[in-house]
Amino acid sequence: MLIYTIQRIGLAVLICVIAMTILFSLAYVIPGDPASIALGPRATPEMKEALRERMGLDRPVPIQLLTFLGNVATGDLGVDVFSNRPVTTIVFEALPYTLVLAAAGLGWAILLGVPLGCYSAIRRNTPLDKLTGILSVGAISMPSFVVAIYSVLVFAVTLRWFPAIGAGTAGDPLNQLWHLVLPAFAIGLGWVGYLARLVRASMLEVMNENHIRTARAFGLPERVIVFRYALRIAILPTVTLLGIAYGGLLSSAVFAEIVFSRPGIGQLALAAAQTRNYPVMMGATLVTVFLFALFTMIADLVVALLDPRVRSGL
Amino acid sequence: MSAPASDLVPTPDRRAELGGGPGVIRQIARDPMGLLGLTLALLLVITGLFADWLTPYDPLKIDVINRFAGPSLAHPLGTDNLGRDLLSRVIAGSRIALIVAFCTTFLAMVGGLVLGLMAGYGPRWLDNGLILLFDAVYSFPYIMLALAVITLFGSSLTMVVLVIAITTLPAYARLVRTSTLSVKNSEFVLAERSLGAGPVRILFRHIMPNIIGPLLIIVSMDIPVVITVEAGLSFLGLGVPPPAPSWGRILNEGYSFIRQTPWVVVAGGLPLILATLGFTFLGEALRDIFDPKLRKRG
Repeated sequence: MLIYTIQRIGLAVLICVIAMTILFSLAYVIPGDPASIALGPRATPEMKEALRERMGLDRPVPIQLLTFLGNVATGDLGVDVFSNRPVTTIVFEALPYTLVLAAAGLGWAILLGVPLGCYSAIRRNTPLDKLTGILSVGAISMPSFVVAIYSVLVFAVTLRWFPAIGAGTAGDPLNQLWHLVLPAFAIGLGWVGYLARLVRASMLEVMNENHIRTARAFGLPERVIVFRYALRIAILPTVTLLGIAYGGLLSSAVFAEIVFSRPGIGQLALAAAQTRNYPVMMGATLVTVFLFALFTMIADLVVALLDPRVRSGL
Repeated sequence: MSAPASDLVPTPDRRAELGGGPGVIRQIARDPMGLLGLTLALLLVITGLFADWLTPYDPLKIDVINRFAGPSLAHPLGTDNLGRDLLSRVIAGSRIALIVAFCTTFLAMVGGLVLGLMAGYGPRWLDNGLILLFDAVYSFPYIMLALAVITLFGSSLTMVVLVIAITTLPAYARLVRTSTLSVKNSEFVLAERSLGAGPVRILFRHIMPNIIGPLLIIVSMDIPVVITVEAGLSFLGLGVPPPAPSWGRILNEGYSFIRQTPWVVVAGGLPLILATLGFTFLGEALRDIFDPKLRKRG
């Protein structure tokens, strides 16, 4: 397990370094340069030159890349050209909002999707199973930002049950929770469908295996067979999916933040894109990539912990 | 989720059983969900292709006096904040969705095919290098990469197509790689190699026909994702520039006036849901046909 863990960490670091190099190369090949983009068309050549020097853009490209990689490794994502604040601080102020939203969305999806998938597998081919199947595909097909807009229309504008915008009053957890309901519903709905389908498919596979047949022959109650023996194995593909799913989930969270005017990485990145704030954009993107590498690594390690066969080959 | 690539490669017997194009369509039509998917997908394609003839009004024509009109015989989906006919805008938007979907999936498919074949058939070092590259690109959440690229290069239809193609390419390349690995040591490839065939001939004459089927299924299942991403970027104001009536832009404009009228967001969202639903059902039906193992299990 130790060797597997070390190999997996190495792979995650390598992927991060390549992703950083890709992002750096993108910035380097842009027409004009980041300083001109940040300062806009009215900037004088002197202003551009000063900013280029401050951002280190006057140095040779390989040196710039190495400096960039070194700075990121020490947690320095640069300085926001507009507010002069460190990008790391700005990104980490916004990040908790996004992570809480993503976790809430995924949380309710797991709570509903996994039992639904289990139930469908046990009651296979019943009308309820078929209905769950159709509803799951329907939920998967609904783009999360359309769900977000429609939920604002129905639950905030028409019925007035939930607030339409904001993240709630600071220091009032109940109010914040109230503001979290609609965005979490919007980003979790598709995942309910995904998880229900995935768990159903893996449960059907596992329920036909020999150890389940043996357990049944021993006369164990169905509930014990399903929850103690079948689900434990059937959940493995779901754990892997949850690691990989982070990218999609974060993208949905970004949209939900914009629709519901909530603070977070999405709002930050959109504002940076609109003002062409290049350092903040780079910082926000890099942090999301690091989190992706981290979550897929954790998912792989959890699967390896649960399934010894995985550890034998990376 | 999706079946392993090797499972999706139809055996010659299976292909004969399916009987080519019309056979597949007959099989899809037998499944009610598949038929619904095929109908919705065809509807989008036909609407997109003949958008110029189908729009009752000019989608860009402003008529401020009739702004925020509800559905009526004259305007079946109502009008937006500038009095533009929403049905005409939705129909014109289907062409944008169609162009982006097909250009993007075609680019990603060709790129994924070439890189996947290289990784699967090439030397070990190339395979390892390309896999790392695919994983690194895949680690960018698409919306963040889109925002980063558009921050640097500005937004345009080409940029939207490129960004979505780059983010979807790694998944295709990985699928092609896995299929290539499973086919490259089969007897007919070994026989061809022993007869002195070069790698280009083996790859394009023998390996590619065997992996193009599963790739096309995955691509057809990705069309709704691509349409959604384009609409999402346009919703954020980063997609196709105005006044082009992309579905995402209609949603964006409708969302600003959601308290005045619900019809604009309803009109912008419904075609998006129907299109994604249609292609998803169609993709599912295709996968069931080409992967009988899954069908039996279901």
